[in-house]
Amino acid sequence: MNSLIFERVAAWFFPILQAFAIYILFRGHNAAGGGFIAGLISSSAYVLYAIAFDPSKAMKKFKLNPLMFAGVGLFVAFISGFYPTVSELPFFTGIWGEVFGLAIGTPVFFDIGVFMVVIGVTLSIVMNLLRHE
Amino acid sequence: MFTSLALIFLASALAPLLGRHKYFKFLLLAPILIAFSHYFKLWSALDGQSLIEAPFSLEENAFGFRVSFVADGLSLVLAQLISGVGAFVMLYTLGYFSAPAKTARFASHLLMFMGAMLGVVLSNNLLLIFVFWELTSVSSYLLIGFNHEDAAARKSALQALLVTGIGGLCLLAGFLILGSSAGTFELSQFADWGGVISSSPHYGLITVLIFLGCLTKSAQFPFHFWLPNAMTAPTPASSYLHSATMVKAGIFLLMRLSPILGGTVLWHQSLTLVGGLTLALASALALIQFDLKKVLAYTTLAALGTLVLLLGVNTPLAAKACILFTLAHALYKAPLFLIVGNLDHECKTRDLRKLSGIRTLMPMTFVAALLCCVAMASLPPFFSFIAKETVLEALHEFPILISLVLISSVVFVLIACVFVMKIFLGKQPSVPGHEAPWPMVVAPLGLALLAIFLSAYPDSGLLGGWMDSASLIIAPQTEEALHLAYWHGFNALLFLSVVAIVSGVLLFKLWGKRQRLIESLNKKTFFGPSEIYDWSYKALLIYSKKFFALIQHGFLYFYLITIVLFLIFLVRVSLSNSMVSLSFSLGDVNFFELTMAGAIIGGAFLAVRSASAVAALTALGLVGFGIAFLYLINGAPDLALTQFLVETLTLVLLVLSFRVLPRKQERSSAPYSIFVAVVSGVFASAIAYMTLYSAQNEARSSIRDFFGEFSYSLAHGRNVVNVILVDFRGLDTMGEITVLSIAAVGVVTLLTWNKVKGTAEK
Repeated sequence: MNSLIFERVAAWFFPILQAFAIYILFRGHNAAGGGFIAGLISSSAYVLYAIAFDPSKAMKKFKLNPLMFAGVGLFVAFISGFYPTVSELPFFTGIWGEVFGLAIGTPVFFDIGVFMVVIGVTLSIVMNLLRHE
Repeated sequence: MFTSLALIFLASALAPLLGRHKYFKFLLLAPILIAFSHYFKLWSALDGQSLIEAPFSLEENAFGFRVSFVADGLSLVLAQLISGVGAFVMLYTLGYFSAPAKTARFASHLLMFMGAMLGVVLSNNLLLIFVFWELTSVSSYLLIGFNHEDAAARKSALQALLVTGIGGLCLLAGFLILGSSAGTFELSQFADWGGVISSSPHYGLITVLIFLGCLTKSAQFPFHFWLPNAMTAPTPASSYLHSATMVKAGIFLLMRLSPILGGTVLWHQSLTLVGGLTLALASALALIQFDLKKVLAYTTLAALGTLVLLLGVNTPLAAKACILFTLAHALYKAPLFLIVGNLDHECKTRDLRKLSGIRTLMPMTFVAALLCCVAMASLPPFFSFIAKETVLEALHEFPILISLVLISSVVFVLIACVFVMKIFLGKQPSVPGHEAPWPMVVAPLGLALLAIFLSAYPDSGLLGGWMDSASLIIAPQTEEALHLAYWHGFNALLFLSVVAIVSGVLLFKLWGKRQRLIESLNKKTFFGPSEIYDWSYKALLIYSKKFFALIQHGFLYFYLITIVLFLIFLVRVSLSNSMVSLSFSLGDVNFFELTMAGAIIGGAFLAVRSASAVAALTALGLVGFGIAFLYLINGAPDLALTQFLVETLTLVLLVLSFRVLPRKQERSSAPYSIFVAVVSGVFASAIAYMTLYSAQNEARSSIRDFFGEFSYSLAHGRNVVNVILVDFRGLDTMGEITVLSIAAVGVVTLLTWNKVKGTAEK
């Protein structure tokens, strides 16, 4: 698409949207948000960028293979569920610890995994559709 | 036991890496030898006991499944056989393939099979046995179809998989009924159940189903045809799976279950009948083959028939004969296959008409072949002589069975003569060739020497111990010990042995003169189970294609209408008992909500009426955003956020996909439009009714209070929705993201398929 305004908007919005996605991801446990929503925000930033410029440019920004990224996310989510079984707790028991007064637990990593899967899946589908002329 | 299995499977996973290296590949022998020595040590310390090992120490779960292993006489003797022969076959494999990549792949499959086979014999839980049982079928499939460029190999692999797989399903059904009548799936708890099961009303069904499983696996008539066809596998696989171990899995299971299910007329008659038929048929068919591997395959079938026959007789003596014969057969048939592999490898042919006088070309292979053939002819000093005498003695009450076994012994002698006198000692070599690489010579020779070692002191040595401890499990009734010896004086058994050998040698003379007759018989195709298989396979394919075309017609709107109609049906059924009148008022609806409702209705109307696809999509987006706003004002920010984002991305996706479709769509015909309108209307009413109904009859569920109460105290989160997603119902989310990823893989494959195909064709 050849629109200078749209291109500028997309370029400016991109980092803001990414930062916002990360913020939504981590606040999700206590307020509206979470991995799924954050993943959608982050990938919509890439989609915006891809429509404004070019899908291949957007993918250059992403750098990774999106399907691989989704796979890694799936693995992270699985490990966070599997980790409790090491200490003979049932699969997917939340284990919590405190880091600098902040409660950090396996569900946080699970949410990060969901975040990655959503980004990977959305990007792999949208970018392939965009390229499909 | 669990550790040894894990080690073998680990080796299977590492084999693709290790197998490529010129020297490191020999490391793959280590886990097999470790496993063997482990089983040997366990067996030596056994002393008539049986050990149960449950590595995860969990109770049987709701389905009766438990990972537990049993170490008793039978399981350990067979485990030693499997790992012992396996080590030699693995050594052979390492020299067999010239391409390192093939060695690696084959070794990996072979180790996987070995782990599965050890799992079958060592498992204590029926369901666990079934899991390993199926894994042997799968690895057999991979090994038979190893040369997957060859259409015949693929066909045979599929045939073996289908025949044993259908048998496996019968076996599972049998196991399930057996387990539910006994109340447990643990073999160790079946010990005193013998009479109870055989007098239960389901006994006949259980036994027939388990027979189907065992007899397909052990290639008994009328399921025998897959085994000769499976000879398209590389020779080490034929040697190991299709002669020494896998085909004995059915025999093993019958041995294992004979104290529980045996001793009835059904058991006795069906097993002796099937075994006898297989024995007779295979002995006859072995004589008209020219492919050496097929010759050996049919003699294997005859041996398996003998084993089934002995199990049918079901006396303590027959149990002993069964174990002895299993061991003897594995120790001469596996190396014989390997020897044929050497001939095939170096002379490039397995046709016994073309091969002769190979002794000068391959002297070491000849030595191994000579030893194995003496063993196959059941001559002393090999313990196969004792095995055959015990078999004959065990059958002394059944003259027909004795004559059948005698016929097969004559055939064995004849084929041993063909090997030694024609192929190795015959006229000058007719084909070029030379000695095989050392692993391929050491392996058959080693197995033959092992047989001699076992034969040395049959009674006091390892052999007697193995036989006694294993037969105690098959037939627990006490009886005086059997003394293994070569010389029992001049008696009927000795006479029968002499008769078998003399007539075998005489028949060999005749066999040489009747080549033309054999050739004409070989070419003839007889109508048999194999043809029935082909016919039903074809019929199944045609039927599936028709059925598939009926339900997967490819018209998206018919799929949608099917789903919608079915949902309407479900709503109608579930509400049929409780059709209550519902009331609602628009009194407490505020202005904002009304506006949104107007936008949604307007959007829907536009979407239906608009001529262009893009306009319709945009209108649909309006509907989605309207719903998202409704969520927002009703206090569900998470839901609203998600709906907004999904709606945006869906819109983008749909617009992108519609770009490649024609811009202007043909409008559907009027009757069809009316039909769709009616269906949609009914569906919308059904959904509206359900919504109102659930709002009125809201059930207070305890889980809702639980989530609200413990969200912060247990899961450290104030956002209940998110806590449910990632913690309380984390497993559901895990399932969902897995499905998402799979869907993405599917979509990407579909979208890039043309590109991939294009590059492949170039």
